[in-house]
Amino acid sequence: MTEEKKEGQAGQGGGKPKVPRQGMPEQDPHVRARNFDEVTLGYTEEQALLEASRCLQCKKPFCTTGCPVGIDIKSFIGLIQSKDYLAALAKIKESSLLPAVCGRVCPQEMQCEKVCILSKKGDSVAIGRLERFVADFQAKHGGGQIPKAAAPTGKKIAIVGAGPSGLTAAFDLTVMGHKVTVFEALHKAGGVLVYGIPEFRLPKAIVEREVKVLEQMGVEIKLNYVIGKIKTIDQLMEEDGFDAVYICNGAGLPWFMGIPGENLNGVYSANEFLTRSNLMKAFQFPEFDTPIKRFKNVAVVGGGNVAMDAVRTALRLGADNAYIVYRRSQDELPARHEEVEHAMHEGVKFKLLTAPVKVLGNEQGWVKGLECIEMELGEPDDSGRRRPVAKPGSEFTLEVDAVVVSIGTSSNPLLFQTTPGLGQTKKGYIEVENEQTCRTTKKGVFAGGDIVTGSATVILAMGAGRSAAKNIDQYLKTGEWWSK
Amino acid sequence: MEEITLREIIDYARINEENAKRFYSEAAEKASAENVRAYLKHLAKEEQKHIDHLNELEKKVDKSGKIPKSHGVAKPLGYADYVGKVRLDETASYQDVLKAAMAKEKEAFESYRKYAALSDDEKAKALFLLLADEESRHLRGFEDKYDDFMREIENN
Ligand SMILES: Cc1cc2nc3c(=O)[nH]c(=O)nc-3n(C[C@H](O)[C@H](O)[C@H](O)COP(=O)(O)OP(=O)(O)OC[C@H]3O[C@@H](n4cnc5c(N)ncnc54)[C@H](O)[C@@H]3O)c2cc1C
Ligand code: SF4
Repeated sequence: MTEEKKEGQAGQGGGKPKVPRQGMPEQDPHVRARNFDEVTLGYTEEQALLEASRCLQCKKPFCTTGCPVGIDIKSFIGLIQSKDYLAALAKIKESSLLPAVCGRVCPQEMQCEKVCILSKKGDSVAIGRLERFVADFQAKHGGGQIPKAAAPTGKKIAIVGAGPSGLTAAFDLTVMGHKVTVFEALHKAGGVLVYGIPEFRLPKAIVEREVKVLEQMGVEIKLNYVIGKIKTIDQLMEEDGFDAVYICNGAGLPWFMGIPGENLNGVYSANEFLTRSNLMKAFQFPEFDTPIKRFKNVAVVGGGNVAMDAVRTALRLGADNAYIVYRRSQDELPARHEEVEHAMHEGVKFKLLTAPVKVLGNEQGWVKGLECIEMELGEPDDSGRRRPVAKPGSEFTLEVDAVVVSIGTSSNPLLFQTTPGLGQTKKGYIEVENEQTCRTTKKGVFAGGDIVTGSATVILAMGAGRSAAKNIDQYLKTGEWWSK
Repeated sequence: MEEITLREIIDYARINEENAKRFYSEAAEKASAENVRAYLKHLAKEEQKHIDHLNELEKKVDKSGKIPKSHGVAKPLGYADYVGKVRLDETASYQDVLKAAMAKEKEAFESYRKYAALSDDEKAKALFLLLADEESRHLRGFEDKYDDFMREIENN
């Protein structure tokens, strides 16, 4: 069963008949809460044409200014209006390698759609949904070609990490004629796109398709290859003859709360929980028998997008009750509004203004509960913010058999420990000259994506990959570097 | 509780602050991360300011025989109650330092509160409460910092 989300009417100028923003067809919440199929189903051609017809083809299109990589949105929507979907896709690909991914996971409501002129008076054009439509159209109907590389330059580049940043850099550098090898620690390429974001938001087949294109272009991807363990960055450059290295290994080291009981069995970081589900195919149980226990009641601590992914995954793995435990109020939930709404419709229970105090265990050392305390908003401080303060005596126990901690991640120390001369910022990320040049404090070594910015977005990581490729190419030609 | 002079109470508070200063200075020697080291040194300096403040307080109390008015107690955010104990060694992170600092301030706050409750002498009671209120504000300062830190990482 599917349902279509109702959306408001949008004003449209020039006396044209009003076409409302087209709702996104979705699986019924009760059904989808128990399967891993994609939640949103994508526009039909008819819906895409109606939605595209809402675009005013502005003389000064604000939408592009809101896009972190400056996609020519007006033009691609214009091409949809004239039903040239493959040309629309090609237009997007001038600026972004993975439209099928970005159309699904970019926070458009904070970017292009936020500044679309229509949003001033009503609903913006559904830019992300149109982006997804053209990418899916090509996947379904074929067309498009494998991009050609320039004549070989004889230069070799190593990329550390096969996430969106690494894949983008690999693509661009290959098109420029360089020989690219990507080293990936896990047994699958794609980074967070395959091990973090769940199947029901981003089908893995999409990422696999894109990785295959790269391989067909001649990119070599070495899996199960941890740089810093199997080989160091210095070895890649000095022994294996790489002329430059791009480090884009993400920021996947989880933070924990530091409360008693966090070492009990049944406490996971969101990363581990999602990785087990995604990469070890726990979501295809019982076909794939993986070491993930069936939990009846799961508490996910945190309120960001990762927490929403984890709690919705817990439901789909068969939990009777899946809770979000978050110490702040609903207004402060950092997750995208759409994700919170999806989680609520699927039956996730939100314990807001609630802070975990202690994880309780049974005699076998497994989680049996999460002790929490209620919070209330305190007096406004100097900045006017009302921080949540504990309500004395309001402690209570949530009976759960698993706790998933999703309060953020930081950088892994391995590469710093094994790469002399690689500078680190105060917050623990790789120091670069600036985010445009991606040059680190070590000559010939570039860095970008989450390992430079801290956890951010797919499109920013891809943008960094593109900047890095441009600057690596430049460096290979001039040999110029910077000094602090 | 045995009779205790106002001067002795201030001495006791000064020893607490001196211990805290030593604690941060020693942790700064051990910490390997540059930013953590710098922050610990800053905290040691802050403790010195508290010692200076107690010296001033002692003079005022000596001179007037009165206990100055408190600026009030700060409501805690609750973090200090629930973060586990941390030892600050060479691997100490900014988060660890905040946790250790919260634990220290909370301990001081509670001990002054306890002694206030045990004191029969009105002035001694008022002085302990004044000191407790000051610690509550220090604690809240660290809890605010911890809250900002958690917010920043959780927004990712
Ligand atoms: C659960 C989850 C949901 C998210 N949802 C969204 C969303 O909806 N929208 C959005 O825009 N962003 C989302 N993000 C954030 C987004 O996925 C990241 O910002 C983005 O993937 C960063 O890309 P990256 O290439 O820098 O790093 P990553 O995607 O983290 O890739 C880094 C790769 O490097 C590999 N690696 C690490 N160390 C080594 C080493 N030493 N040697 C070799 N390989 C190594 C890792 O295995 C990984 O494959 C989400 C993140 C998570 C965790
Ligand atoms: S701002 Fe909105 S209406 Fe204008 S071109 Fe961009 S998508 Fe179309």
